[in-house]
Amino acid sequence: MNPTGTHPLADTVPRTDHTPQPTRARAATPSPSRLLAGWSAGGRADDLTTHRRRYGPLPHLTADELVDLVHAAGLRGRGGAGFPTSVKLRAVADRRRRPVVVANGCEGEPASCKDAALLDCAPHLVLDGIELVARALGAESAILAIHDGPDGPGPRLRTLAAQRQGPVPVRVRGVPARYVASEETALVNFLSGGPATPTTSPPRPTDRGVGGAPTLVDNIETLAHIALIARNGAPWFRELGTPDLPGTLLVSIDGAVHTPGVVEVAAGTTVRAAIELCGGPSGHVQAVLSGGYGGAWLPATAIETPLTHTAMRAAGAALGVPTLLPLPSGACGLAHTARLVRFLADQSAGQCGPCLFGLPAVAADLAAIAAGSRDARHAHDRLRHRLDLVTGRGACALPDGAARLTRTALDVFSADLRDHLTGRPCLAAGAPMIFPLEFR
Amino acid sequence: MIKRLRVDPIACAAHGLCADLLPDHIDLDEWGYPILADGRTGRPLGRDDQRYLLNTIFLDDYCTWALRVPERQLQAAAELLLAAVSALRPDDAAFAAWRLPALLAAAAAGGGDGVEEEEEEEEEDEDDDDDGDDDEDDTDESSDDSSSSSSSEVAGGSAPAGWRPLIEVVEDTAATS
Repeated sequence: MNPTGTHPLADTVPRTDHTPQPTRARAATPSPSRLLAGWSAGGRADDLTTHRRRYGPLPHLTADELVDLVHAAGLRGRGGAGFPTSVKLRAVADRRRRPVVVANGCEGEPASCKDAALLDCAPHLVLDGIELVARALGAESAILAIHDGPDGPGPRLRTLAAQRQGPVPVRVRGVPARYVASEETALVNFLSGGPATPTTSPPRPTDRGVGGAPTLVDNIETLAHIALIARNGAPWFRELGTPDLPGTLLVSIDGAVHTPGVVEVAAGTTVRAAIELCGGPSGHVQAVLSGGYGGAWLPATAIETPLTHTAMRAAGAALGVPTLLPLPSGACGLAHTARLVRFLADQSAGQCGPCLFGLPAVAADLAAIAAGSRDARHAHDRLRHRLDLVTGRGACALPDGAARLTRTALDVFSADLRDHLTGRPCLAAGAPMIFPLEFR
Repeated sequence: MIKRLRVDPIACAAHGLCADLLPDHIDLDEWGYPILADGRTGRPLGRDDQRYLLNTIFLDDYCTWALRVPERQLQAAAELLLAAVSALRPDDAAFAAWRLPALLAAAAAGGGDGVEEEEEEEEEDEDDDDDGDDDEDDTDESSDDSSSSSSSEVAGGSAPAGWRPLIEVVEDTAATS
């Protein structure tokens, strides 16, 4: 764990200097530039006039037109689950009561900074998406939810939102910076006046969400894509990406690369190619953590895997919120996993028993293995059993993510694991964490 | 018709009563939380099985009820419940009508040992309720549709407003029969 409480790579991460707030995000110049076109062209976020000149006026769609268009485009949510956006839109459009539209820009995943980058580089594209969807669905209100703080983007976004005079005013709401706080049901709970903790579903937010109204919760990148699809059409959207996952993805890349940052790539770009856009690995890479801290380890041998949900799953990993963290060969994957799971355990809302008790137990077992302690073998046996116990037994996916991360670690670092179990932990087991653990 | 059991993982407080009630279907993990067995391996409950009645009528009330009863009275309260249920038959008119709050009221009126209930209490942690997924199907004969579906209805007439079950018996829509 990083004792200083700062991001260990902070010094090497270029900061954008066009906005008052610091951010870890750096938008590298990617091959395709859709979401980040304005930033790529001007090196700064477009103001409203430039934005409208660059992208053209925002079309007005009816609910049916919107659902059909998004369906034709094959857009999948960019918040991690990859659920077809048109299905969610349809669920809300079919309700009689006027819905609430929530744009989720909280980015609970600590390894991800793509939403921060998007708000930084293309705020008007996000606001376009919210406006278009809110208008089409006849929403009673629209909320842009962000993790705010003293230096956060809140004030700037409120100013930008106020400039637009859209038909449905967009309220910008700060949400506590906790891992689970931006999970869909937690966000709805918070925006309805409750604590920012997950609730059991059903009822799904699309049935009963903020203030009891049917609620569409979409990631801000998803909404920004909708703003572009509405202007350019579904066939244009499908020109990039794969049939199953059309369009571009914002990918956060950190860890053992030369220039950590956010890149926009066509879906289906390989893990290797995405890492190359960040200057390539800064050393020999043994594995890549994909999908964030509740994601999965991808072995270096699978580095040619395309960035799609299906391909990553088939490789035993996960796309999730696209995040790639290459682990250099000198670092201990098991020790890193132990710390990550400890972090996830600390992020538990403490509501569900298997998460509340299970994650600390899993973290302790992993720590015992990482340390190569005398108990390591027993810890390993317990761990295998406990992974089954925590999976699928929480209200949200936090325990599932922690279990998946752990399982893939045991697979990908299996040679290491044997050494640790026989009392020969690697030299790097006690070395500090190389991934960021702090919330911004 | 296939039914599934679902646990509300947030509301569950690991009393473990469900495992007493349905030992063939529910195990407890090392921390005392219920693990629902796969319905296909569990023995379906027959209609004559006392636990079938408990399941159908009371399972959804069961945990909620356990949370309301002081720890020291749990055993006595459980016996009271079992005794009441064992007097019921599937064709009993009271089958669908009986809900736990009614039972508790009856017990209190009849001077049964001190079962106490606070109807209110449950509400706060219950409105966030309900469920994830999980398995466990128990199959029963299709002829009893009306009684079992009405009795597994969550909002029985006597349930307090805002009340939701911790463990819910739901009809699996994907089910054939």
